Amino acid sequence: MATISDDDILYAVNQRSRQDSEYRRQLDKAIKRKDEDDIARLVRKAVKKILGILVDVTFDIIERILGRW
Amino acid sequence: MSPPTHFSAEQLGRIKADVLHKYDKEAAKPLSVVIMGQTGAGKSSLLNVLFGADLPTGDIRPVTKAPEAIHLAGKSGHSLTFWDMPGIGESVGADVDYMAMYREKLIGCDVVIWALHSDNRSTTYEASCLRRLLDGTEGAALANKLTFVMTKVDILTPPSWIFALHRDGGVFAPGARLADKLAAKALHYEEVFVRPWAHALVSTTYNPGGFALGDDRLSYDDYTIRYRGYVSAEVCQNYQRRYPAEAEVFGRLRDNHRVLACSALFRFNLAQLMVAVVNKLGPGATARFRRLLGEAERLAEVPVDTMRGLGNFLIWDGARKLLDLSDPTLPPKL
Repeated sequence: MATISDDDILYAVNQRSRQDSEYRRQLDKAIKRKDEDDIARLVRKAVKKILGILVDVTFDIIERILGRW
Repeated sequence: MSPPTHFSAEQLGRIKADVLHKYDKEAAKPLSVVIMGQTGAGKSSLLNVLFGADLPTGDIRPVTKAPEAIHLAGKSGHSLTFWDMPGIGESVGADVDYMAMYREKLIGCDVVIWALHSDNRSTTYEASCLRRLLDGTEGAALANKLTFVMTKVDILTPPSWIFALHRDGGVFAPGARLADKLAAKALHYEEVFVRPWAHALVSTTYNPGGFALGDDRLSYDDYTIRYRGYVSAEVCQNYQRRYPAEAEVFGRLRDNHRVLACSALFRFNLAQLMVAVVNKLGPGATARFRRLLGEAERLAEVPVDTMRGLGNFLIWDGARKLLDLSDPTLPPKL
């Protein structure tokens, strides 16, 4: 019967911990970037509606308009 | 930092008010989630752990006859609309009728998860249901909404799950043999459920900033990177070899087309699943999603008390422990 050594256990636990923290980091980043993309879309629409012009709204402009989101 | 000179203060105020109003309105809508899969695949359990819902689970449930909207309050106080779909496989005749209903609901929802029971011996029937569902003009849009999850991987053997203890909680980790088995099984499901739709698939992920590679399939903007086609293991490896500095981005594009091995009971791989779900959210859905998510840490952490009720595991806190958890003489925290 195959046995599982302490090194095997340590490897499995470390691997899991690394993957969990990596995906939590990715999740935070994915939500943040997607949210920024959505806000940028809303800003473009608002600029077009209020100024009647199409403007290339980059994120630094969005930050200037909204301040700290 | 000064505002752009071509906006007056009054214009800036109006723009800001308009954006905030629309954002709040969007965020206030319920998140619409569809979880599909055969009866007993663990759809409700998955939804409960992902979104803090409280759907009844178990083997004996009333048979749902038509897609039914269930409105729930998430733990954060925000709302969730869960479409309880009739379980696939209850009857062939019923499934034919269900397909049109499924298609309609899937088009309109924010998140679609297809739960595949990890202990299925045959995938033929479910694959034929998927083919029927994706037939037609809206097939490509639907194919790109789906996230496939291999559920209940906690029941797979060899049962070398390790509980890595940390204070009052811990994390379940599969041993190496079991991890290999999960990967092989997930790849098999991927061949059956994902690869056939390669022609319709697109994979997207966030642009961390600075990614600027493009070719006939790969494109990008400030926020998003897109690959038109199926990101198989081979495709991913080829890109990673050519552009090692962007290996992480190609890994994320690949993750979107994996079948993810998950366990609601063991809270296994839930953060990975959520990343895949976020990547597929449509415009405006992120505000709704983030209000339901809560703390990402809870996606993996299982309290010791809960673990004790799940079975007998190899426990690791820096030293191996094999315990009979039903032994009343054990300290309450173990």
